[in-house]
Amino acid sequence: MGALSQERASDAARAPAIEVTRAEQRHLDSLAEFIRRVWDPAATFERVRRARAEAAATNPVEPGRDIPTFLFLHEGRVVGHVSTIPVRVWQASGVRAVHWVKGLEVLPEYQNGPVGFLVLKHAVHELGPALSLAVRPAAHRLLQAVGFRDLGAVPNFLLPLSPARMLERLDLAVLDLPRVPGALRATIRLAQRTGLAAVAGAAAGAATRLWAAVASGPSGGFQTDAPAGLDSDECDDLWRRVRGQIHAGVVRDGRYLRWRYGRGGADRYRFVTVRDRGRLVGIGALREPRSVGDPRLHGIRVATLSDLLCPPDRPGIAFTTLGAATTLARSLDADALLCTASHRSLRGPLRRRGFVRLPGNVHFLVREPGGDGEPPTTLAEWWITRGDSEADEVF
Amino acid sequence: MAPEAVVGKVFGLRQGDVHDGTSNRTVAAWDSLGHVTLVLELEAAYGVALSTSDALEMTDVAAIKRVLQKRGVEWAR
Repeated sequence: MGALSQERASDAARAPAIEVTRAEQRHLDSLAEFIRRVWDPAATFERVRRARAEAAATNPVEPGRDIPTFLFLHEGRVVGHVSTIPVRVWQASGVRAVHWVKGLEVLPEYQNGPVGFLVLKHAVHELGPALSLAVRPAAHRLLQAVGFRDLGAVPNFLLPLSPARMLERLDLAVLDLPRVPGALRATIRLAQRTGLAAVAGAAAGAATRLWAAVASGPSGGFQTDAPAGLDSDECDDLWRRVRGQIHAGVVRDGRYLRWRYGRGGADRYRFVTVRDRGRLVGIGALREPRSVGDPRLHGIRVATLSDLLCPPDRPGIAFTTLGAATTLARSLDADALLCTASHRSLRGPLRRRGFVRLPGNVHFLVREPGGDGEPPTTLAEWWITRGDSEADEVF
Repeated sequence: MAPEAVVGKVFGLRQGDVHDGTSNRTVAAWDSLGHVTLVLELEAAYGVALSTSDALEMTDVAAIKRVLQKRGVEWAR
């Protein structure tokens, strides 16, 4: 695509009708207009300016530096947008800075044209190594076209806490779970129509609790808690012990965890901790259940275990962390607890806790230009959870 | 080769099904990546360099023809 890729230079020479660029102060008015149309009708120049300044100040990798955002402008108007989240990633070889690529949006009248591809291409060219968690198939394809490798869908695990209520209200037709078998869909619909859903749900709830009780075994003598916050030094100590056992994942040290789940979202996240003779050995960050705002859920309150950190070689700790998160989710009146987790060490504890594996809907993609520090190629080697890239914003 | 043939080839459509009104709103496979592929195929088929402005404009077959004519491209009709 000779001409398309060289367009920026030629456009710039003739006072650009088209510009693909990193967002700067001069774009804020147009960016606010774009945000108003796509996400937030209340966005203004001043709010966008403040939000960007605050994001720069709390930049978790380079404090004070702007968070890279990339724009496609047509006649001075933002019509396409890609944002990022800077993070540090641990790989067996060490720690390095990368960016999550997210927030690819194009105004409706410009969709299915070159805008999405070109703004994404510009972004990854500037960013270098990058990661992405993407839901929409069109986004997977675009990301792969600009050099990302799709490592697959991160598995979802769901623990029904109130199966009767869930079965009564679940609408599989509108939930983005494409591989739920047709027979199961039909059975659920039939149960909903005949009123048997409540009965079946109660039976399922009893079965789930029985399975969790049978499979749980001894507690291992761990102590669990639901503290209001996390101690940064303790988190650092836990991360140092865990990182040597995982091939790759976002650095989950105290600084990151406090930035990710403390800033601005303190009212949305709760924590659980697991201790072994006083020492912190497991952490869970639970996003409070939501029922409003997502019509697909029909009032079902789903809490999300956005993050967890525990040593892969001690499944009992993961098991206990999941148990503590379940207790907390119940206390928050959640109907279900969702956990999205890639690492193979978590599958056993999730199954033993009664979580049901559902088809994943969030794909994990990696871009590694040049091949230096080649990342692991299997999803199960990565420590990815729903909280990464703020993917817990969507269900 | 007529532009309809290029569009048909890129999106797997029979040439008879492609007309001036065929657009990125009527063909499911014509998404952002499909659009870029189409532009590349048009550049290769006619030996022209298309700009991003051209690409933005080419949202249906009629517009593709208009842009190609503007670029001096001719094809058998």
